[in-house]
Amino acid sequence: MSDKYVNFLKEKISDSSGIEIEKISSNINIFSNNYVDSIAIFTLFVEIEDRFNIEISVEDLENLDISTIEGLAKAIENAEQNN
Amino acid sequence: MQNKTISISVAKLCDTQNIMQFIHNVWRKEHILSRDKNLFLYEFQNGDYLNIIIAKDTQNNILGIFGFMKYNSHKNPDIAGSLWKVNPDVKEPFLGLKLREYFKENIKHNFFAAPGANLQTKPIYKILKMQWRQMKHYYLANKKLNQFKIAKNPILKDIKIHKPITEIAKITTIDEIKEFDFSSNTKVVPRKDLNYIKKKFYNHPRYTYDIYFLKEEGIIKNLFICRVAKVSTSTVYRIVDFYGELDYIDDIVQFLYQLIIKYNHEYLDFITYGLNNTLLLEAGFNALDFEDENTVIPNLFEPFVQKNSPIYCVSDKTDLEFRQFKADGDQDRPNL
Repeated sequence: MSDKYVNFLKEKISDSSGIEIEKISSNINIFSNNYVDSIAIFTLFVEIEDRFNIEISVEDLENLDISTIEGLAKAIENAEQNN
Repeated sequence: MQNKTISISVAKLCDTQNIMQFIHNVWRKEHILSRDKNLFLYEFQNGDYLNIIIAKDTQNNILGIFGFMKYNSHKNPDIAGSLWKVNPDVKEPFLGLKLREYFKENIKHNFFAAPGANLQTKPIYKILKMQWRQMKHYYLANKKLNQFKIAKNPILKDIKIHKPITEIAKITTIDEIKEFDFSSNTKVVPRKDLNYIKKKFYNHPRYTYDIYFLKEEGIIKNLFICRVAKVSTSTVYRIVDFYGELDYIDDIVQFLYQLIIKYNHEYLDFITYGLNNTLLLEAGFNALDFEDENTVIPNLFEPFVQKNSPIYCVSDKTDLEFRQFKADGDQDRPNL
């Protein structure tokens, strides 16, 4: 998997949460570790849609493993390839 | 808070106290819907149930709510969203979305709109593929007044006085408007009916609404509903709902302008989305420029906030004519 997805997500999460980018881990739960809250996650989704020209649906949120940066990055990669 | 098994369902009447407590604890302390049970039930009671979707844990704690109101008594009514809140301590991702999805799957409806959406929530609605809009705030200031205490520097405009071609009157009984054809324009959503007006305005437990009809050759062409808002000894008159087209808007504006002069209201205002901007301006309204800090036409009165307040509304995507007004959803609710 290309680093560009992980790097993009870490950068956006760092911007919104104030956590230093070096301290953001790719494989821990982004919700329980306060990387994002219930509003910030949707801002992140909109930024993902705009940056990678993909659409995120409610079904995606329910079916995909997006609880970690790694999971979310894989989901973006798959969606971009399917486009 | 640890994650516990969560169940989502339509709230029952017996959940009332719990939900009111949730509103107090999570939404805002002393929120009117957390302390005024009559108002709470007026807004949400639906027989033995409440028009609220709730998420609970195994210990019966309420974790989130999704409230709604019906616009009409159809089998698949048009619906307005109201309170939508999840306890932020619950680390259940997308619980708010799950509440909404439960609503979509279990509450039959034709069309959904949510007036008064918080700007912070815009990304959520974008992901939900709903339409996001900003309402316009029209106003007509009373030129006879020497000073304004509610408005700041309103633009003053002359109203062309003309001989009205219609009859306008305030109703005293609800029967006076039962002949209005609510389905005359099938392209307009949300669709409202007489029961909606009766419950929301005629029988409101706290506010006094003035319900007017406009007749042309004996046929009711428009209904409009107004309410006085007060700050100390100063008042304004607000059009909070509107039915029909704008063919006779000149007569309506002239009628209401004469009323605001008679009762020394500072201005008449009309918050709306979906009506023809040109016709409203030509009839005499100004459209508030939210960027202009010099002119202030407040929207919030309980408590009073002397600021311009942009108002947003969302809805299902539609090719139909979407219209919203100040009183849609729970936007014109008492707050003190």
